[in-house]
Amino acid sequence: MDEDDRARLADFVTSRTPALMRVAYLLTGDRHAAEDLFQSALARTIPRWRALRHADPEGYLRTVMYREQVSWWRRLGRRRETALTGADEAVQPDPSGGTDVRLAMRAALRLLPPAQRTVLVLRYYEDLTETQVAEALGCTVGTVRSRTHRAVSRLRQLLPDVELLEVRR
Amino acid sequence: MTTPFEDLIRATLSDLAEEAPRVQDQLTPAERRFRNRRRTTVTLGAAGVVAAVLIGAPIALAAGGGEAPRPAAPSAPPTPADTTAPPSPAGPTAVPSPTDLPTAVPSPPGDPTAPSPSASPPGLPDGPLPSPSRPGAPSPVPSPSGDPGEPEPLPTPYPTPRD
Repeated sequence: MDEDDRARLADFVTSRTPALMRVAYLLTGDRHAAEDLFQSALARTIPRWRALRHADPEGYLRTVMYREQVSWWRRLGRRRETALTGADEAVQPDPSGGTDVRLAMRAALRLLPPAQRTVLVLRYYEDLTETQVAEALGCTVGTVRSRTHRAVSRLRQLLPDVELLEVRR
Repeated sequence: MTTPFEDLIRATLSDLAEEAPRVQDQLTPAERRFRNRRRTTVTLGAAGVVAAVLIGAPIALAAGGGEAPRPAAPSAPPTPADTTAPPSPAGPTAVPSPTDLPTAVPSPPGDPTAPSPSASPPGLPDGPLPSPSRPGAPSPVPSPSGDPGEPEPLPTPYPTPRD
């Protein structure tokens, strides 16, 4: 990679890091895991930068992040980290009841498996269609639908009183 | 159309995204990671090639080492006996038992009348021909049309193929 390419890459990283880190943080739910995911995706993008610089490097980088998040190898690494640090402890819902529904929802989101959480982020934060999510994750639309359904069902199961609290408000 | 529950998910994700950490230079560690990754790939590739050579070389040598001639196996010369009574493992064995064979040990010199197939000179039969088989028993190998004084060749112990 020559100097010009590296300068373009540095500009791209500097300008797009905040947005991409937000997505990485939503995907992982942890600051360090988000940095790790972003750097890992960036390391996979660097060797292809020459071909991507005139195309859509951000789309490529996002796709790498999404797929990396649900990949089997990364899940193994996460298990190792969990075994070492025990940092991914289950967060209990707010005991104060429905006073802070979003906090309870945030805690419930942490309990979702990476694949279901990723689908939710892509559907409800990135506002992608089911077809776009399927293309980004490299799976079928049916898989996206089933994962979304399972994720929402799990959240409803974890937060049985949320809809009642929403009505009361 | 979205349900209130889905709106809640959206709102929560937006809140979470606002709390994302602000990081500085991510390019340098990513480049370091890329170099490590490339080094690992090259190392694993070289290790794979070495392993393939280590495993494949003995197999290739074993497969290609058959060019050396096989050790010579004694084969019976074609005899007329082959056409008449080929000994086969399924058929009667043509090897006479040691008890049936007359002793080929030369007789003591003091007994000239004793049959001695090996002691008598060829072509000069001076006594009854010794037969390897018992009298009356069918001989699987007929004697060739050679000189009557020559001792009969012992049947070959190696079975020959039928065809």
